[in-house]
Amino acid sequence: MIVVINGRDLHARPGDSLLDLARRTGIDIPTLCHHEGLEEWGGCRLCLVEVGRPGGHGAARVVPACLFPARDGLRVDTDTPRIHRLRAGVLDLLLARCPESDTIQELALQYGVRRTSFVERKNPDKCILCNVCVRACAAVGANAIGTAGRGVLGEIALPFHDDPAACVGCGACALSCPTGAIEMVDTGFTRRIWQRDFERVRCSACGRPTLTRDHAAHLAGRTGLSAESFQVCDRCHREQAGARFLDLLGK
Amino acid sequence: MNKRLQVTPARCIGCRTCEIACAFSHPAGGGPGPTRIRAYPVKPPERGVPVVCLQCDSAACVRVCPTQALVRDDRTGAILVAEDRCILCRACVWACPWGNVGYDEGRKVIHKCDLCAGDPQCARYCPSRALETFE
Ligand code: SF4
Ligand code: FES
Repeated sequence: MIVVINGRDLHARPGDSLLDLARRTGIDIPTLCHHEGLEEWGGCRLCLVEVGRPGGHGAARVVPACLFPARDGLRVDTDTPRIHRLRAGVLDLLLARCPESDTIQELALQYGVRRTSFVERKNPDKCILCNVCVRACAAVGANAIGTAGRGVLGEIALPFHDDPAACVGCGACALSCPTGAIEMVDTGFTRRIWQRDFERVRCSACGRPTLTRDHAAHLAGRTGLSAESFQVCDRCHREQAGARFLDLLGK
Repeated sequence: MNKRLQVTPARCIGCRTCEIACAFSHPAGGGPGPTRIRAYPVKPPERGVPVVCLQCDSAACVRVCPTQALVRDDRTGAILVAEDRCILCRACVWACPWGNVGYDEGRKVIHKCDLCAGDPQCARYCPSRALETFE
């Protein structure tokens, strides 16, 4: 299967999106909502590319590269003036939404947008609604957060805005957020995230705080790991493995 | 260059050279990174037990990962962390029964033994052949 991207003949594999193929062959397409480990979302529209009509007739179509499947004979352009303009438009809007995000500022600058031409959002946070956190949470199996509201009022939120019951405090959302929009504060044995305080387990060997109690229970339920797995931190775990080996060896 | 790593704990003298070789072979932030091998010291000294990833066939870390971010490298046999697939849920850290998967809080990455792309440096520097490689 041959796809022509920017005039280059490229071999696509079955199941490839245009983005997969481009990235594998070193062609840069900017993305914000794409995450290699998560289901494709197609929400940020930064990955827009031009796709030629069959037979080369009429104007090319604009499609998101992350969702568009590679097909034999397809002609794709990733860097035309039109694409540049469209991406600049997306970033102009994102800059109005998140004027304080350095991720967005840097990307926007690459597309010649220094300042948004729209009205900046009042009391802005850094959330660009890429949905990575929601998908990460779903992958973890907690499904504690989702999208709420539409348009400028869109946000990532707890059910009914204030019900953190499903959250296990693992922090995968905060750690995978591309703009650092989710606040997670660890103070000693307490972790605060999503309006809730979580208790962190104390390593029974070294006394340091480890994962949250709820995260441990969640993992035990999902993976069948025994409760003992969570009593010591990873470092002490390895020490104990050494001790166990030693017993086996009768050293 | 595609070597098999063999551990013979009875030969370990607990010098921890392997840890240093590992840390310097996996630099992070301009300095040595966290070590992925640990020579568990035994008292009285001059004895130790090297603990390092066994690259298990049906590995617990691989099984619990929700995003298939732990992938076996067919060439070296090592289970590698595909950082772009990882969502940092740290399930693998808790799943490994030997504690051989670690989380670097500062750099926000999961780390484990990668067999140095087929040429384990711990074995190269081990003075007592507790760690050896075979072609
Ligand atoms: S931390 Fe990353 S590699 Fe480990 S289980 Fe979670 S997603 Fe997989
Ligand atoms: S990466 Fe394709 S729409 Fe966001």
